[in-house]
Amino acid sequence: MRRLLTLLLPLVLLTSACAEFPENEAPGTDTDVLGDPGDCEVIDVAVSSEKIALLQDLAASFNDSHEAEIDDECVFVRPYSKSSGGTATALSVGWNDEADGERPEVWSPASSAWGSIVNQRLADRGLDPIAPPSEPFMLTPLVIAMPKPMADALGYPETPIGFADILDLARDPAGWGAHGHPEWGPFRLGKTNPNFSTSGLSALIAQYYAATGKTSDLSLEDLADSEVDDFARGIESTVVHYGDITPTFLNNLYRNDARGASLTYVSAVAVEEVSVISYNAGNPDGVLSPGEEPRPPRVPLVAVYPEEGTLFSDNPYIVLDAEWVSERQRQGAERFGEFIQEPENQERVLEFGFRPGNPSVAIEAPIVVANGVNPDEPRKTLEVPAPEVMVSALERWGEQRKPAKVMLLIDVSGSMGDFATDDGRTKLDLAKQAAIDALPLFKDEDEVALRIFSTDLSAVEPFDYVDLVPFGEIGAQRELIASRIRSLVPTQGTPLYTATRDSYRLLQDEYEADRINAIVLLSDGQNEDPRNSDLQSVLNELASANEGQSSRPVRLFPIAYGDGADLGVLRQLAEATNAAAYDASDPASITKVFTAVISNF
Amino acid sequence: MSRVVAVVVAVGLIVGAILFRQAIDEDDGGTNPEGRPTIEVACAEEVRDACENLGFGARYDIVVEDAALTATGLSVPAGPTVDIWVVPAPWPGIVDDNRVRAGHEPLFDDATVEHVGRSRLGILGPEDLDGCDWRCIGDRVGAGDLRVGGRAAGTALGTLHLGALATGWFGTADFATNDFDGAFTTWLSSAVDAVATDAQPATRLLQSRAFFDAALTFEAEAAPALAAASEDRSAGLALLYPAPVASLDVVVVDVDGALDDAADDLPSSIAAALADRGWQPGSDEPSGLPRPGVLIALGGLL
Repeated sequence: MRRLLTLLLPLVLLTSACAEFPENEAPGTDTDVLGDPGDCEVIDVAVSSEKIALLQDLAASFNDSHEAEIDDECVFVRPYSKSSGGTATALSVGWNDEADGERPEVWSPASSAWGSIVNQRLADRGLDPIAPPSEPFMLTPLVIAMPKPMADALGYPETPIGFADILDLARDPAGWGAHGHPEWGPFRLGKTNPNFSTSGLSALIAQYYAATGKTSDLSLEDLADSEVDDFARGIESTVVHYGDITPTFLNNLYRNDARGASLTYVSAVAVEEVSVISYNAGNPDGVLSPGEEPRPPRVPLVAVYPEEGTLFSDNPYIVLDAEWVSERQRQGAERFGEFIQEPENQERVLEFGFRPGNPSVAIEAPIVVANGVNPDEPRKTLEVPAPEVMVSALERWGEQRKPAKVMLLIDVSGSMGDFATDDGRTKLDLAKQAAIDALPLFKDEDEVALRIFSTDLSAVEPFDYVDLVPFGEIGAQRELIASRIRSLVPTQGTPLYTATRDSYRLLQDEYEADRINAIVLLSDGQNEDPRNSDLQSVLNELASANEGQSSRPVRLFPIAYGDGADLGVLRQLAEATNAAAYDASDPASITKVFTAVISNF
Repeated sequence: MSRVVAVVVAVGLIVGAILFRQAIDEDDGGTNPEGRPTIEVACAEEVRDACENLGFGARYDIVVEDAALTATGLSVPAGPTVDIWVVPAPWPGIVDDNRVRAGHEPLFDDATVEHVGRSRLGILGPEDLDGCDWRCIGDRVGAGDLRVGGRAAGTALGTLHLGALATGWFGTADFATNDFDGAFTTWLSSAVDAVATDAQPATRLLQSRAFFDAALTFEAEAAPALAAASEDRSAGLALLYPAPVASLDVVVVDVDGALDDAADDLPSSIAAALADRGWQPGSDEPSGLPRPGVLIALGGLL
């Protein structure tokens, strides 16, 4: 039976690991594909999202082999997906099983830099390190992904391109006009949040190197330099919007490509090489949903290997040096670590688009030029900074990032009063707490407003929503917003379309080009509005406002909350604005999801 | 700056490991299932694989750690913290040198040190490095003309490569600290400062040339790795032994009289395990490296 499971697993993984966004899964929910561990001692392995399918595939083989037997007893390796930054934070501040999921015995972040960050943060608190130096088992370099016509316009690969060149382009007011293509509009840079995303962290480090002209020895003094600070703020000001993960950008780009508009969404985005391979294969997020078949995009991406050098996501396999790891778990974990380094398993690593860590396995297809990547690149690496420098860079980014203007649009319909926990808390109770907990994630200069909606909420027009707190810098009104959220109560139905449309119009009217303009929409139901049931007109309005060179892009990030939410509609609304929908069908996941949503700003 | 970071990291690792060792030591003193005292064996990282696969079961309690860490514990007068030490040859001498300077009795003599394996120090790098001696290597690294990865300067192997580079400058291993001058110090510092610190430089180089152009290594480590590497990874690379040729000698050291008792077969077992892994037989011929006291002084220059 376990053999059958092994054979079926790759197919199961492809169809089941299709959460709305791979890094948003609640821990534990994606481990069922491995079956029941029975009496075996479980070894939980927290892995970054881009390799969850691979690791579960390998774990199934391992669990089914004699390698999983130690002294006549068995161990059961159970990988689950958790973002590198999220795991780093949880390990640094103290693991919370309820919020963070199963506490791992093994951790495989995308980059060993995260292990250094955890150890540094623990050391700052006077605690022992728990992430010992570990060998990588596969690698993928950070690249600058560009649509091929754009890379061609810059003369790549004959003309080398570096991070500094990209950053200069992003700051050039002439945009693509300076390169003979005014029709492409401004140079649009996509970045992910470095607190969550390894690509984002690596890009941040590369950005600082570009600002200093160095390729090694980045120091705290460099980060504190006022010219470096100005440079960083200038770059951040050109960002389209941040994403918690790179699939956010790649999915949006793929959708735009389908209607021939990929060149106006984003000009360059820092991603891992493996993502370029997946995108060009027609699988932009690296995971095939049920019924989805990979279809190559009209305009492929090209991986630009930066001239100054780059950083590798080296995927270390870290057996945590923590008191909760038993000796048997340690032995089993080390066995699995050796298992994944075996040449036949490293061949599987290659199949997934990663470069095998074991040098006995050749780097070949799919890492070939025809797929937009180059196995002979990169030629140089940037030095990974000292841990305290990386921690400082993350702290500074929180201040340097592009400011946001965000409306919190919260559904207070009657169904939000449904019980969500055994201790009597309602969905609204959980949502209120999650929203309040997320407020500190905004920086003081961000402008935030609070609007609630439900049918006939007001006796005068507009009937279906009420502004509880108008736009203002959150530094001055964080507690006001929190107090208003605390006082929310469930009321009537869900005028989803009207509330969304009118909020969108408000953001369009009050658009600020030097900010990320966005709406966070939390809804637990379907549109219940006798006055407006025309979804298509709402979608058309949202999409038209986001197109064209002179567009005033306002991103809509809906959270589908509870099992009654209309995830399909919310996804359409998000995609119309080149944003992303988030799945919080399990109310217990709302805190985590809210955090992920706010990471877009 | 990278040198400072590397030293800080190395010191941090050593301090952490000392604390770890202390915790182990506080828990030792047990017996194995045969009722005989368990023999504590400390193995240097360079011989990890041979030590961990000896197959002696409960007779030995084997700890693998950097030689510099074990040396730190043995250099203080509190007494031996291990029974047997399997380590690159200069380190027993370094321990005794440290002890004598601190006014303590030396621990070792020829009777307590047995040579069990030898492997040439080398560099895995571009084939066109052939003919480049250690002085030439140091020149090119210091000038930024050759990107090299290697172990941290404070580790066992890092110390040996430091000695090899210095031997290249002087053209002989027979030099003393009073031969050091400003030109030498500047040359050595610039070369060592430019080395990218990596725990497995040969593997890293074979993973991607992006990391560096060449790796400081030794024959028994790099030759099998190079032979096993796929053609695309090994193309254009060669394992070279710059002049003056120097060797990494592994010795088994009887720290606490254990070799006379229950562990008399350990040296031959270690020697066989090393031979299986590509090491040459042990030899007490000169290694081509400076004396232990000079190695200590070289580390002090950085």
